[in-house]
Amino acid sequence: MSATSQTIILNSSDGVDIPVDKEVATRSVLIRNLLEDLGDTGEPIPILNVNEAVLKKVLEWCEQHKKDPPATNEDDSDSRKKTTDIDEWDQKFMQVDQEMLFEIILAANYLDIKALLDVGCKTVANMIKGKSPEEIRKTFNIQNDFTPDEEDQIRRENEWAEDR
Amino acid sequence: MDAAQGPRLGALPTEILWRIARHCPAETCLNLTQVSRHLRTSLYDRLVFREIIIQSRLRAQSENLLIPKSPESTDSPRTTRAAAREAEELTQLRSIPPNFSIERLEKLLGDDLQAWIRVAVAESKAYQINKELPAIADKDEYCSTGKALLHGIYKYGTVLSTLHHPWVYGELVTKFLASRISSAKLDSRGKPDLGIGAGDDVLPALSFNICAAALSNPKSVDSQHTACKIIADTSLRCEEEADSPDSTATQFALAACTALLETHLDGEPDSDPQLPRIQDLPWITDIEKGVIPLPCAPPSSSEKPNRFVSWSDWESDCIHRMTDPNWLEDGYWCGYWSFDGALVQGVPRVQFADAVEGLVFRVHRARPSDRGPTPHRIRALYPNSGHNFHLEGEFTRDGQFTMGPPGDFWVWRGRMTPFGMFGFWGSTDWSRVAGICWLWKKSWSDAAREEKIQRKQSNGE
Repeated sequence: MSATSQTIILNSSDGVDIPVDKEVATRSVLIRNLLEDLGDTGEPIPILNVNEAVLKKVLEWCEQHKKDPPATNEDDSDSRKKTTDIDEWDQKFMQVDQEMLFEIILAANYLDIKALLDVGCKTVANMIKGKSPEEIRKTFNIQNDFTPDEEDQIRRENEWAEDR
Repeated sequence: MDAAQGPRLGALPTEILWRIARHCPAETCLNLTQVSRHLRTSLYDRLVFREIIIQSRLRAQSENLLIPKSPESTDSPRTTRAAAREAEELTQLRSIPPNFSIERLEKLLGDDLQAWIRVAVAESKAYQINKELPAIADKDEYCSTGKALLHGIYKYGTVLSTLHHPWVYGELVTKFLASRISSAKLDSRGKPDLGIGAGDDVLPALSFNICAAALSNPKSVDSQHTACKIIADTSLRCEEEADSPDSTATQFALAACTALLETHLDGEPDSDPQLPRIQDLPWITDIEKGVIPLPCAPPSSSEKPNRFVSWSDWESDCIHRMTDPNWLEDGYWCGYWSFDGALVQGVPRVQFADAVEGLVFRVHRARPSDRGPTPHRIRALYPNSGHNFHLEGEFTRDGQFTMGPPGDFWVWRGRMTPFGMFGFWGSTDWSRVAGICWLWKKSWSDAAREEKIQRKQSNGE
């Protein structure tokens, strides 16, 4: 039906209007459902949880992937891809600081863009792979909030998994 | 910029952490659970590791890592027929998944989170081993990578062998193990050096299952021959080197015997199904290949047929039943022992005495003592032997036995295993080891025979 491109306006959490092709915006299941439910009123659609910088970044991804086959509704069956490979464009796209990376992941989750969420999670997984608990803490600036007793118990529990 | 302002890994919602975890190897996810309380609460969960197993299997399948193949099988020229046969065998191997499905894991592991984690980590490591093994499989010189891989095979294969995991049946792993075992040199202490170095001492208990699995691989070339060779080699080596009954070599011999006994218990009914035929034993080379089912569940484990069976589970659970005096005394025992090797066409061979049938045990129960558990006194009587066969000795509660003819110069020493009592016999000071001894309950053979006959009848109808 929508053979010609049609522009809609998204309103970011920090109040900025961002015009975008409908075809691009509807990569987001949330936006697609909103448009279906409310009809196209021409009013800006408020995106409450995503600020301008992040929303623009997400839309950049949607633009690149607008021709991809649409995600099915069955949540996980199709995302069990047989590889953790991330395609080259996506790899470059994800070369951002950690804060932005997690913002993108949260935005993809909120906007319901499974493929982007998956790319983000794979990127984080690749950053974690092969790291010890202490290295993970350092890389991601996480505080160790276990008590010494808890830590001791956890260590004993997992001793068997250590490669000598 | 203050990193605490923006979203961080440590504070992501659980649903997103789960999505990240499913792309991680199990061991990395296990590390994640040790980072902070939030990560532990979110990820230390059976369903997380279940999902990791599903994902890692899919990846392994797509990379052909599930069932490792030997490098030479792709390199060497093959006839079309051989290639077709191999394809068929691989198809059969790939048809293992009913056993290997996630539903089966659910049954085996239930809610036991630690077991799920172990399996997840073992599978993940196994696929990594498959990636690295082909590069070093044929090298004689053993680098540190080789040692680490071998250690990994023992360690994680032990877990996987209890699950019928196709990895254990892979040609690559089996051949690699067999070549290590058969080419093992004796180290400075006179023990076979399997290329693991310092870890050698901790491996016997771990290596049992993986050896049994590898040796029982129906698709592995000559696995039965390998089993036989190992028993023969170990017996000879023990004679020459006064090897300790607890050594790795003993474990391999034990696994080999296990494989043979399982073949026997699982074989087709024939005219003399009570005991393994003498020609099935190590010194004869033309042995039919059998299909030996694993896991090596102890034969008396009917109360818990789906129990996740590992060596340590067996030791903590079944050993109590299999060292119970009443159980030992109940019914007849049968088995074999070997004696001095003779030269057969210039090659020393282990020889076996006639099959033992109708041996009984009498146990003098030890009273509990303040100084810890005291061993039971045990007597083995063999009225059918035609001479006054009578052994006396001790049987500890963890299944170790030592017994010999009163006042004589030789003893049997060994341990209870899932497949009966296995050990070596030799001089009382252990300066000379004469051969192996191996006994199991006659009722196991009888039950197996009945089952086989029934199966055959129902198939025939």
